[in-house]
Amino acid sequence: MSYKNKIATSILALAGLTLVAGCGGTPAASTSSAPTSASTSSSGGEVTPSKDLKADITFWHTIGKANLDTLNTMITQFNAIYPNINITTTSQGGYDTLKDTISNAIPAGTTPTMAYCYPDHVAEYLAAGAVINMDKYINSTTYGLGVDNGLGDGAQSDFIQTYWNEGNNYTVDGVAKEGVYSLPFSKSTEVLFYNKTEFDKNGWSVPTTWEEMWSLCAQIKGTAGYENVSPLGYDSDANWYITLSEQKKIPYTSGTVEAGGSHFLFNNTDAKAMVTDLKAKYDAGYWKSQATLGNGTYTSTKFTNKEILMSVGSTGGTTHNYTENFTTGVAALPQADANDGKVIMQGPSICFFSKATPEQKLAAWLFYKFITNEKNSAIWSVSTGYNPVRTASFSDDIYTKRSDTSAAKGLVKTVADFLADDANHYSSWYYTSPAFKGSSTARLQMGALVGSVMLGTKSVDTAFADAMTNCLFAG
Amino acid sequence: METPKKTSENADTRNFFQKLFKMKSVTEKQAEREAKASYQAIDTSHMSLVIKEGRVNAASLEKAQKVAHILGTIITYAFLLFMSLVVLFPFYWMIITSLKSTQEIRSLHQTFFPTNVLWSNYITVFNSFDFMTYVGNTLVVGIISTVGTLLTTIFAAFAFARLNFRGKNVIFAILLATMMIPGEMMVITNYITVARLPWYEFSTGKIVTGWLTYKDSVFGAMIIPFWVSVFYIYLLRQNFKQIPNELYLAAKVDGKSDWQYLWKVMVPLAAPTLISIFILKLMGTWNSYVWPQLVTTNNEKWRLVTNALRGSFTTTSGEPQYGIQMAATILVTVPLLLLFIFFRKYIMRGVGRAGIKG
Amino acid sequence: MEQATQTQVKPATPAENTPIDSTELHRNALDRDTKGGKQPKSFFKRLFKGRERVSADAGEKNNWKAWLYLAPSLILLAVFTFYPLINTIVIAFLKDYNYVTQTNSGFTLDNFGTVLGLVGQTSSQTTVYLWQCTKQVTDGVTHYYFSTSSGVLTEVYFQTDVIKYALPNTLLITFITVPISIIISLLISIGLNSIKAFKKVLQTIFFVPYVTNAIAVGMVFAVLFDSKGIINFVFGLSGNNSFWIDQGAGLGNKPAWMPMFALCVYIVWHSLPFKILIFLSGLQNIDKQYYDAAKIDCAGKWKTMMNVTVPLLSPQILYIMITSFIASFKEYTSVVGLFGMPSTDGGGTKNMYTIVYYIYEQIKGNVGYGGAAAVLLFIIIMIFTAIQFQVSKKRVYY
Repeated sequence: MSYKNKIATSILALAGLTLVAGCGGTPAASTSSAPTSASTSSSGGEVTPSKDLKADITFWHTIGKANLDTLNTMITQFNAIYPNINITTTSQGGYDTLKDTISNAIPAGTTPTMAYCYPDHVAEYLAAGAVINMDKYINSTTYGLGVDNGLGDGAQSDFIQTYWNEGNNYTVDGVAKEGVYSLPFSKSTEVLFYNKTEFDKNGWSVPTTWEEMWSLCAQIKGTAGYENVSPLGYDSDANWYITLSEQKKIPYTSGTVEAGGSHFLFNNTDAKAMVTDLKAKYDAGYWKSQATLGNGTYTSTKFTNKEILMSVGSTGGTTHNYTENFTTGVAALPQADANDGKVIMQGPSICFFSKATPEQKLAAWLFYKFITNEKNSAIWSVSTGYNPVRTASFSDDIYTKRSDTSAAKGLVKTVADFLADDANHYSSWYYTSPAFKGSSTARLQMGALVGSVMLGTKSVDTAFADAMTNCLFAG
Repeated sequence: METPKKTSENADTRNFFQKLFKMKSVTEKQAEREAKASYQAIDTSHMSLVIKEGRVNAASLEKAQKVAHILGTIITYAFLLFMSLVVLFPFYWMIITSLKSTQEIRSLHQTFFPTNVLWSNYITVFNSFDFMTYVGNTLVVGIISTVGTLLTTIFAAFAFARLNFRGKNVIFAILLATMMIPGEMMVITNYITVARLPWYEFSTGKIVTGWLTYKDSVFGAMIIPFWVSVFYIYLLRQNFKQIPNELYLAAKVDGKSDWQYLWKVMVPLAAPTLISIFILKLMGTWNSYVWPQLVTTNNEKWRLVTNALRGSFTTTSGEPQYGIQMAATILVTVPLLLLFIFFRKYIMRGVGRAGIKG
Repeated sequence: MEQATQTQVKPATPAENTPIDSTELHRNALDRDTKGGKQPKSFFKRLFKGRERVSADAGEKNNWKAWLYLAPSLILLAVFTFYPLINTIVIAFLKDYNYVTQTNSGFTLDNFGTVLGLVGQTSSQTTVYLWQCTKQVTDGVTHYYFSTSSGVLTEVYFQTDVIKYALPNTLLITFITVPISIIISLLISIGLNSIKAFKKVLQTIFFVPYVTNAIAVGMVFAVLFDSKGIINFVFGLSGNNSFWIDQGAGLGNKPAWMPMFALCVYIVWHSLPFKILIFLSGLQNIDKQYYDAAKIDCAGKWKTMMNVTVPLLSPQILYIMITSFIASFKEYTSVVGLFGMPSTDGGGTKNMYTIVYYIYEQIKGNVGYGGAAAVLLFIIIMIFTAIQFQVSKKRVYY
């Protein structure tokens, strides 16, 4: 063959190979079942829960080693009731890794049966049609919530309603998508940890509003011996921005979009004024945050070192605010409006994927009912420090009469009691931000915005413009 | 001392070379020395003619040379010593961090030696996870990967260095071009490819779709896509090209085939490079994280050491426990270092160039 | 006495046991390769024509066997490298490509436009081109406005990360770190090769950075270059002059060269072991005879190095140059290791972006932008590599 022919042939061969590799079938058309395929007894017809229900399900999560035993105990107990359901759990690292793994698994067709998720992520899975609408399962008369399948779960009304509502507020392309697509499992919120020893010593009172907070900060800075101390530490800059916006009713983002409208509403004068005000307080030395401390330093670390006297942090990280050197007190997050409190709710939910057989989906659903029944929700809360998702769990003995209250666990109990106490209003104060494709970027950008303004690397205007740019171009 | 006539092109190159490095030709050097010698014949300080024989007195020359030699050696050692301190410092830091508590690591004042030496970090690592399984996985993946890479590299480098075929340079240019795309862009596509390619499953004897389901196919997914590395092909090609073509022609005259020539002559001559490739590839597999993480989503037990390490030592709220992470990292990297120490002498031994001269 | 007379120019055949003049050997080498034909002069001609074959027979015979040798590599590369590469290029031209849903909205050049800062978005995510906008500068900040069909003036946002930060940073990093690291590693390798005592220990020591974990090194540099760290202590820097790698370094009123300097130090440090390893194994290949010849010629250490060692090491040097440039253009892990994740960990500063960092960020959201940036990077690297090959053609001796 002549030289030119040889080259042409090799290029054609390469092109042919790529076509072959590329035409491996579209994800929708792929007929291979999920990796751990199930075998079932029923053919055609509705699948019903029975001791014979046979399925292999996979559950991807980010649970650390410390709490894995609790989960495994629950699995064993579940298997006592449904012996033919085989549950394989895989830890996928952190939330970001989990999201990336699932995002890759969707076009590859290798999604699990159920997985940990954040609502921000579910919005993207939903756009791909990869997660299923759980209404059918929730409302079913044979195996719905509250129907007794030997799992001890209660009705839907027993769930903390804000947790529940987070799962049916999704929008796709700016249009609301009806139905429940994610279910709560392991929730946390933010509380104010304060150095009770120091407060009692100086006769300071814990602030309940932001005005009170700033005057307390000024007072602390003026007291002798506390010049180098930062009175307040707010761990997550993003949370602070979003919570403040919510408390002051400043627009942040919106899930539904009219024609010509935008998802991202934070580029407005009220928001800029709020950030300018925060900057003034930062320059006065009143507060620090993770972004301004740098190096991924948590404010809880500085709190236990007595360099910060009040630290707003996640209830999931309660144990980090414990130290033997002083007593840690727990209080509510300060509010802008005492009558209309807002406090963030965070933590993973669970979603179910469409690429599974009906048996697998039912089995996963039954498992979910089990691990979120009143008793197990309380057990999970005691073990991990996260909130229970059922109101009944708060009054359960497991929750209220926990055995281990030594050292850090004692602080966990204080927080638990605090959240259970209706006088603190927390259950009614929870809010969530809209979840849509791009909402996780918005959250990250808010944190970056606050950090850059406080550190003086950007002016307020530039910071907002940059945040807007990044949100728009993130797709 | 006449230089034989060469083609103009080679003379050009030689002149260019000489001019570039300001190297004088032999005749020029001799003339220079003679000029120097005649100047020194008149020693005005002693007001007498000192007749020298064309160079400075032999003894002082030898002394000057010795001083220069010692000075050169001292400078070399000093330079190397300084650079080695620079190079070692982070490793030292790794070790002391692994012996510190998390509190101390995060404190304002960094210490050069831990206040409390905490061997407990290492104990925690051992107790924390199934060390041996992951190490075993990594070894299997590493060795099969490396051996396969060595083979493909040897074949391909041989083809590019010694054999002639049409389109050789074009294909080589295309190969080089593949190095110019960042890896992450290819990960997603490869993952989808790997999930759709067929695989002959040994345990069931059937062809299955996708490489992500069974243990042997997952290991295949971790190994096979990386069995070819243009990076190492290029390196070995350079080395092969340094082996003179005369040997090849001589072998041909002797009636040896390409295959025999490759294995009996070229591979032994290129041994230092091959061992370097072996070590580098093994280390690359040892340190790989993203792809194994992606491909082993179905079963944690199939993961590699780095995957197990990174996820393991963070607190529930995600704060990394540096001390324990460092201890785990050291446990993982020390074997690599030992490997290098063991193979070092094979790399550095060099190869005698027998057979060139005749 | 006159030692100069001994270095005669030797005949071409090395069969006699006489000292060999180094230049002579090079000349012979060149001769061998060009025997039987001339080299086409232009780079492109050479690229496509290849060197003339030594003899017609050998060429034909080798033809199909070579393909056999290449087959395993080519097949694997086709599936796992060419195919993703082509995919990347295709993605760069697709609008709104979403790899999760595997949908796209058709062919467009807008991705390239966005990456180059020419195509922008309004807050309602409609595409607007730079030339359709009016510019307005308020308080030193440039804003672009576009009047919609209904006459409303909306702000348009452009992504200038690549033009402003990623591209210049990448070029700076490449042209600073590659020459410096090659020179340093060359000196170290030659030094290591020439000493006798402690040779093994030192060789092992210089390999250590390769096995050191990136997190560890990031921590060390963070400690060293911290605003309260040792470097500032030793050089007496404070205030705004002490911000090497902290949040917001290089922006505002802090010197812009400092984070880049720290980054370059890190990169050079990290790239030394590999280069030293390659050079050392290359140095083993150099015949002792060359050094003997140089010694007879009374060449000093420096002259020997420049005229014997470096030319004979030139294949390895070329290899290191090409691969280092390519790798340096793709620099990413060192930025993350040293600065954390600048765009999320407070500061939101992207002043230390490199092109590949930008690509990685974009992959998580809009893959099309990542693809466009990757294609641009590919073109840039190709141009520089071609230049390097051309410049080095006459200086590499095999």
